[in-house]
Amino acid sequence: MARRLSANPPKPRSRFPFPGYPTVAAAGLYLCLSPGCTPQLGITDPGSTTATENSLPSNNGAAPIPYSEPPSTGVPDASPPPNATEAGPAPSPPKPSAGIPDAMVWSSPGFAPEFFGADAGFPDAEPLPEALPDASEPDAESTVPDPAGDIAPPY
Amino acid sequence: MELTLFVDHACNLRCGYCYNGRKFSRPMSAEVMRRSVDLALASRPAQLDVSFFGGEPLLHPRFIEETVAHVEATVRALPEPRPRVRYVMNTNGTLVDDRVLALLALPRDFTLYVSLDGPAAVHDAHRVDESGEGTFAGIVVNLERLRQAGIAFRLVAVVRPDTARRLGEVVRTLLDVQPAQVTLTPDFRAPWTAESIAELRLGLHDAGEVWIAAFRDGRALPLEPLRGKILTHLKEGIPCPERCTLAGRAFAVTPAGRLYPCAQMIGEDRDDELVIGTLDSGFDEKRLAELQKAKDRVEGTCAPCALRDRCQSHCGCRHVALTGELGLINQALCEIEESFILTADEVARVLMAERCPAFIDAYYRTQHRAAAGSVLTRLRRPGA
Repeated sequence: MARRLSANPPKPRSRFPFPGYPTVAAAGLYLCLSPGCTPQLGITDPGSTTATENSLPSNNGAAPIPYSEPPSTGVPDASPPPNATEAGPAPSPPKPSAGIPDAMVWSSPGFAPEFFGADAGFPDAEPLPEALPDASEPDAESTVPDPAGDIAPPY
Repeated sequence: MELTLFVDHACNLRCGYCYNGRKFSRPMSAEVMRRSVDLALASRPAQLDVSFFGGEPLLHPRFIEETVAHVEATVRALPEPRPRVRYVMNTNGTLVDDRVLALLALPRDFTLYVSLDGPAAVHDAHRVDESGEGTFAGIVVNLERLRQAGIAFRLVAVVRPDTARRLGEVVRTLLDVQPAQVTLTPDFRAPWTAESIAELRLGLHDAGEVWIAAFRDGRALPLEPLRGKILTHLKEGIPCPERCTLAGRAFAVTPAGRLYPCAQMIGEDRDDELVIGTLDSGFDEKRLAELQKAKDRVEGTCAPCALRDRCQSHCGCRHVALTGELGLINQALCEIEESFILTADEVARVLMAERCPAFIDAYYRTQHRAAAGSVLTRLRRPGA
């Protein structure tokens, strides 16, 4: 006789083992941070075209949240209805990200040799620009769209 | 903004696990389509994803052509900055002809999801036509036509208790037809048991082995939701844009002109419970707020859980599939999500341990490319 799973609310998992591969933070890489969001990445799906901005509001121009601040609790913000969500002036065109090459993530001084080896050897890595934007000193003029998620998941 | 058009309740297949109820003809009119597009564009989104869903959307290729033409003409008439437009279609893949190939071809940004559950024995167990015949062979022919036409497609495989143990075969079969992405979608309405969850874990182990082999061959094909589970660890949580906000940035429209938070909640469009407005009256903000509040009850249930930020428990349509009620989940979701997370972590651990180049490129470099216009910020190392 097959044992049906409980229809009651589940027991939470109190502990979970470290997965055995580093987070990007532990690996010393860079993230792009968008206003109003917890740390997140500009994801480029290998199967799609390029990362793009979506239409979420941009936190009314508030400064990006540095990663070192306490992360979100994970509870989604109360979402306004669609017509309110999209209200307000149309976003400005994206500002180029200071010409920072994609490969810069591998040339980070914070790059963690304990995970990848000191001579990981990424031939296309480029030296870091002298002046990287700093989370604590956001470019006041930039209107930064949130990075898009992938195309909506299939049904 | 994502606008999903529920093109018709009719479908040429009779899949055993379909959650959309009876198949009957109620095609969406051009008028409903035009008003839906206008509503989606009213707030001047920076991006518009127009998704075709049903029923089988390709029963109505002319409607899709008209929609594309209308969207493009409407967007062209807007002042700068105009939204970027992408199209998405979920199809059973049985109705691909020259007209459809022309519609899907570049330069349009069309993301095509085709349902294929695995090898013939797995697929044909549930995905049959009106006469009860399996559809695997015809779909594989059509996928080859798409491939030869240079049209990328993503495959969606529904995972059920009776097929979970065969996930290794499923993933191997799907990878062989060269999709751009594969998604394993558990049937949350199915009667999952402790035994079938155990089989799911074994099946996922086999699927993970197939995926590892692909990485070792230099193929970093996205296999969802395993890829997503790895990313939730890399990013230390589900990023905001991927969290379900229940109509926060998407809505679905039925042929009758009713609005839902999500196409998966439409069914036969007979129940008012999840309706958030109509094209005539607009969004019912009070009702939407009630539904969002109901959905967020799950946050209390999941607050103590160590897997909370790696789990899809926030997804409202899953609540409806699991328990019929927003905000309520059950043990099946936890077991299935944990199974995916364990498998994803094991795959990533193995590939990281051997410093697999395709894996490292895909997850520690390509994925972290900055979005257009985004701010790059140096992370503070733990303890630094």
